[in-house]
Amino acid sequence: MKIYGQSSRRTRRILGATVVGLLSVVAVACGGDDSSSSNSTPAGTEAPAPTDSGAPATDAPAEETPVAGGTLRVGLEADVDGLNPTASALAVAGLTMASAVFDPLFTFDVDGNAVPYLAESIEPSADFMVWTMKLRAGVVFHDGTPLTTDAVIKQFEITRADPLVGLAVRPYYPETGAVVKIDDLTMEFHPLEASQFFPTALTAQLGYIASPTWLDALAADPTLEQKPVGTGPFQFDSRTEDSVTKFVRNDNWWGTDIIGPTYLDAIEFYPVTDPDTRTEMIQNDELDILHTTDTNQFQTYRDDPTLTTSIDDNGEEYFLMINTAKAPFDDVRVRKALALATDRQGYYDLFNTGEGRMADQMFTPDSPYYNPDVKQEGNDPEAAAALVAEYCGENPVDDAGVAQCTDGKVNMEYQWSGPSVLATRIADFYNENWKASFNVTFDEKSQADNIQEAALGIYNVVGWRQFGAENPGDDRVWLECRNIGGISLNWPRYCDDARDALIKEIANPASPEERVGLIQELVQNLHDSYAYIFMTHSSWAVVNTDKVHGNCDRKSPDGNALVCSINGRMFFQSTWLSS
Amino acid sequence: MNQSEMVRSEHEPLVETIDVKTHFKTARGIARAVDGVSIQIRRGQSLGVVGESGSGKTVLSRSIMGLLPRNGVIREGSVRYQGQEIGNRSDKEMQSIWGREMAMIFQDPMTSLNPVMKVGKQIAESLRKNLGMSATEALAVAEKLLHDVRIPEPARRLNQYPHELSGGMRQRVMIAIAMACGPNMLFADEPTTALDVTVQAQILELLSEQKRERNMSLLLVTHNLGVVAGYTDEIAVMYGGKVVEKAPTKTLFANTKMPYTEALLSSIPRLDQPSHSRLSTIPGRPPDIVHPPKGCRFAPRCAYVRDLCLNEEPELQQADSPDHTYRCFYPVGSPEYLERRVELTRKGELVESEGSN
Amino acid sequence: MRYYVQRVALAILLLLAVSMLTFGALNILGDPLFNILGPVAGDVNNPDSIKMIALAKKEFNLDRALPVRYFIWLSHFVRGDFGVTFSSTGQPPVSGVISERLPRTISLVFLAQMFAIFVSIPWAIIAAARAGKVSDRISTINAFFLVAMPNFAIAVILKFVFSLKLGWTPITYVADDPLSSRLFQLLLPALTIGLPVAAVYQRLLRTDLITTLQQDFILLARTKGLSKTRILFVHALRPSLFSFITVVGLNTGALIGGSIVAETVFRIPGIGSTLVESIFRNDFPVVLAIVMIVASAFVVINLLVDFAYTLIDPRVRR
Ligand SMILES: Nc1ncnc2c1ncn2[C@@H]1O[C@H](COP(=O)(O)OP(=O)(O)OP(=O)(O)O)[C@@H](O)[C@H]1O
Ligand code: SF4
Ligand SMILES: [Mg+2]
Repeated sequence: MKIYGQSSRRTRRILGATVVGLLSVVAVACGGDDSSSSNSTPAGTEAPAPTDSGAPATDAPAEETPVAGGTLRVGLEADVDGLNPTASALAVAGLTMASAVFDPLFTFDVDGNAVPYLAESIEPSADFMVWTMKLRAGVVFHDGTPLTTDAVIKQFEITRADPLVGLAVRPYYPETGAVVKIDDLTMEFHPLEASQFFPTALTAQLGYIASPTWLDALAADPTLEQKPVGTGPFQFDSRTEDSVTKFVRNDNWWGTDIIGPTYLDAIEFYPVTDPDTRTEMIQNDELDILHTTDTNQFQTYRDDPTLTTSIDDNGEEYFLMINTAKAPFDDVRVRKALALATDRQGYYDLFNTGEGRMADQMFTPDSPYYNPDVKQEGNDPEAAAALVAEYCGENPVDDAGVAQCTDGKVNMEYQWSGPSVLATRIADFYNENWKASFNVTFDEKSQADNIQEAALGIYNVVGWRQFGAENPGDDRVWLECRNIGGISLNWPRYCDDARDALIKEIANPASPEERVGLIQELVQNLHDSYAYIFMTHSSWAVVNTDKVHGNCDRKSPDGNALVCSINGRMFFQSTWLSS
Repeated sequence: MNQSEMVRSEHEPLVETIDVKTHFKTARGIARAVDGVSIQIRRGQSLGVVGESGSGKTVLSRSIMGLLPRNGVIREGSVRYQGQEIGNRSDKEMQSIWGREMAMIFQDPMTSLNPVMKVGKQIAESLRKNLGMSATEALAVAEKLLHDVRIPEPARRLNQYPHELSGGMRQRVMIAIAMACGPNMLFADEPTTALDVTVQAQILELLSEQKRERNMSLLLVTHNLGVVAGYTDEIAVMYGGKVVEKAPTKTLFANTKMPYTEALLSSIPRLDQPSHSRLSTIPGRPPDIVHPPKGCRFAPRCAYVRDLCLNEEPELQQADSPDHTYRCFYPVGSPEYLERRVELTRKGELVESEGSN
Repeated sequence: MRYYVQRVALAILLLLAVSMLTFGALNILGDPLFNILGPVAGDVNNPDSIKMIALAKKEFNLDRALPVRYFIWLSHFVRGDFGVTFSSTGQPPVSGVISERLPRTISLVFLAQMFAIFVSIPWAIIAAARAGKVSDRISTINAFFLVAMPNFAIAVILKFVFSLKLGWTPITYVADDPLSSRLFQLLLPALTIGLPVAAVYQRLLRTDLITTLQQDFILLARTKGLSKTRILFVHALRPSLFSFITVVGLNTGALIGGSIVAETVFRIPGIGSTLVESIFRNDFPVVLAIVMIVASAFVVINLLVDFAYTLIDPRVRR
């Protein structure tokens, strides 16, 4: 029995992964409600300078030659429900596992360009409306099925049909003829809109091609989701949910001759939800490498001479998200007042304890797209009070005629998912900030309800984590008017035609320089909407022992150097272990 | 061993206590449960210890056997067994004496047998421990012992639990246990009190028969003077932790000295009466052993009390024979005693004591 | 015999009551639709979503009246069909989840119980034999300390000492390791939940032993010249075991409760952690199945305890 829909048993444990995690389908890393990530922010000023797309995870001396063999033990922040790219909600942990067993059609090189991987080449039409992609010949899946156009199309269509994963796909393709077969290895993509950066859509879940034989079998036996079949450098060996998943080297990997050998005999993935336990395990030689967003652990890692840590805060931001479709926050003055009333500095001092950076916008100052003119307001309660006085002076009521102000203060609700001690403390903190101008109702929700209400727009203000797309243009799914509806990926339900036009332009800039300017303009637009109160940049740390080498030696088939990790997502094709 | 030593050892007491004091630390103060008792028991002899409830009979016998609790006890005086001091021995040192040299029979066979262990095993374990027998040997001996104590179908009983036996049978089992390793000295602490009247005599008969056959010494604790009469050579009467009169059985009955003993005699329950009609006929309550009365401890209840009794404690006196001692200023037959007796008879307060005996 | 029939009948009634309460409570407290469909469950203005919601309601019988659903569930449950988890795929079947995870929890609880029993008995005997002395007082303080300590604190301390400082034991459990390693990995978790329970057992047994040691039959045993050890183990222990085994039975519940903590801290994918997870996810079939299994285990163990009385005391045998 198969009823379409998403339920991620395992991933729901990482907060917010359910809805948003699966949208990695379009290479948009994102997070949900923020209660654990609030203390996950980027490296502090003393911390190793964050580098673009992940710093080298190893310091292998150049003269050392890789040796084959060994089993790499990887500590992940959570387990997955299944490893089905067409339906599973793959968050960072899932993507890490998927990256070992599946190959993407495209992948990011160190310069942030999507370069061919399983695809051999891709050619756009002059207007960027049709993209002709050629697959690599002679590639076979682990089950012996050859990689063909049909496999890619099948996967695309199944993904698009999925009610949730499809949310991020359906708005961008026509109902029929989205992917057209030319021959066994060639196909055409027909997106609805022109974009020079179309291949970035094929770098993650949508681009992880699974065996069509396996996908067929999956329809009859959903348990096969636990045993993924791809073309990747590793293949499935065994899996015990919540304990360990083991992949072994694929000795028939197509890339061995073109890209280079895969050294590891096997990888064991250990889902360890408690970050302290993950730390203990790597210190006790039960893990070789791990990822974490828990900034409390960062100093421990730095203090341990046997561990190498790389911190990446170019991914997501933590912010307060405001529902602009519902009174009182349909009025920009109230949104602005909330931002002004928020003690951002206090939040940083209290909950980030010296790690990471405060965020003014979705980019860090290291990013070329950073707009130096955009500053997130905050820490100005007087200005907030003035705005609230003005608003309340008008005696506003909502559609149902309910007054929005009581005693000169705006009535609002702050919601978070619990029970969580930290999340409750954060809520208390906000209440202190806001209570001078707002009557705040606190609403602790189960995680499921919290996500559901955010997705359906039944909220005022909620903590959130998002905007981690490798290609900034891909964050459009959260911003466009077309993504407001029943389940809205545009969570704040803020529609601005000017913004949509800007997003279109970003997809097709006249020059890279113009693109930078356009994105900076978008940053300004986001700020002016007051739908987000940016708080901090979230950080991912990848930590490995001194036995682990070669993470950063990855190459594309065309010889481009590839990133070592993307926002905690790790790759192991080139990794090797010294004894 | 020369002859004189032989003779000496025959007359030497098997068990001897010299001024034994056993005091308990209690919340109210020091309870002088046994307060300076000296007795001797020779081989093959039996001593009856009689007294009201709480007079210290049990504590005395346990003091001799070394079965006192370890905490909160103050012990003084000397306990000798075969001329050796055993009063200060540890439990571990006493293990070689217990069972093999001395054994004890308790009052209540309901609570004194392990309820969850088969009868045979309870007898056998003593044999195995003390005589080093194998399990089968010990069981065979146990069966013989059960036979000796007149338990029908001994072989079957071996595999029964105590609750499957009647009270009398249980007491016989206890006797079998006590006899098992052939002890020289047997303590029987009210061995029949908990039993039916009809069974009491049988058990006492069995005891004295075993004693005779095995040439054991016996210390028989009872509150029933009538019981002691038939089965003991000598009697010690206890009151408030002290021996107040001690004499060979016949002498004690014929020539009672202590008014207390006299009172006891006048209230002997008869074997044909319900066993629980205890010594309740002496008016008044037994003395408080934490704060004993000054002077004679019996004074508050004594019909013959005079000022002297209230102020001074009577020393142990010798009666007509050296083996008869008592503690009283105005013993039965003394002029003061007779004088008071006449008064009492006149007032009609005196119950004819001889009549009830 | 009649007694046992009655006891078993009572146990079945009890389990029925537990199942009804749990079933009722779960259905009142949460909405399973989200778990099955995700946010689609609330997307009630979208015709596609409405279709899916209707389909899910039918598949999972959510459109039937509560009593009807209960009887459907019950009739399946007694036949060993625990249903499917509330998920879009209806996978995995609950019995699959349980049969995979239950053995781990059972081994954990069993190890902990064995540990608690075999530690508490000698500990209680030694303490009772030295009642009131300094060593007994120290052991009493230790016991209270252990009883008062939350499971997770014990877990953290054990982990710190034995794994991190001494490096003797692994930190976590790996379900795919060979049996011997897994048993070794269960050591700390079993200690975590077993230690406080051992302390409870020790307190109880010590008190009962002290009472027993004052009995006449212990005095009689001493007069037989038996060694102190024999008196303690052979004569005093068995009659003192009544409340002990009762509490051993009852504490199986506490151990299962503690296993939730231990399973989380030591990463054991057992039913304890699954239960918590399933409650958060409103995954009723799993919650129900686990509650019923735990309740049944509890009832069965306490029936066994009743039976054990008869082994310990011949007087109860009639
Ligand atoms: N362990 C103890 N701690 C404190 N007091 C004790 C202890 N054992 C006995 N006693 C007290 O010592 C006194 C003598 O007790 P004992 O048992 O020897 O009397 P008894 O003559 O045997 O009486 P009964 O005929 O009732 O058996 C009693 O007052 C009793 O309360
Ligand atoms: S000394 Fe006095 S009080 Fe004591 S028994 Fe003799 S007569 Fe009675
Ligand atoms: Mg007594």
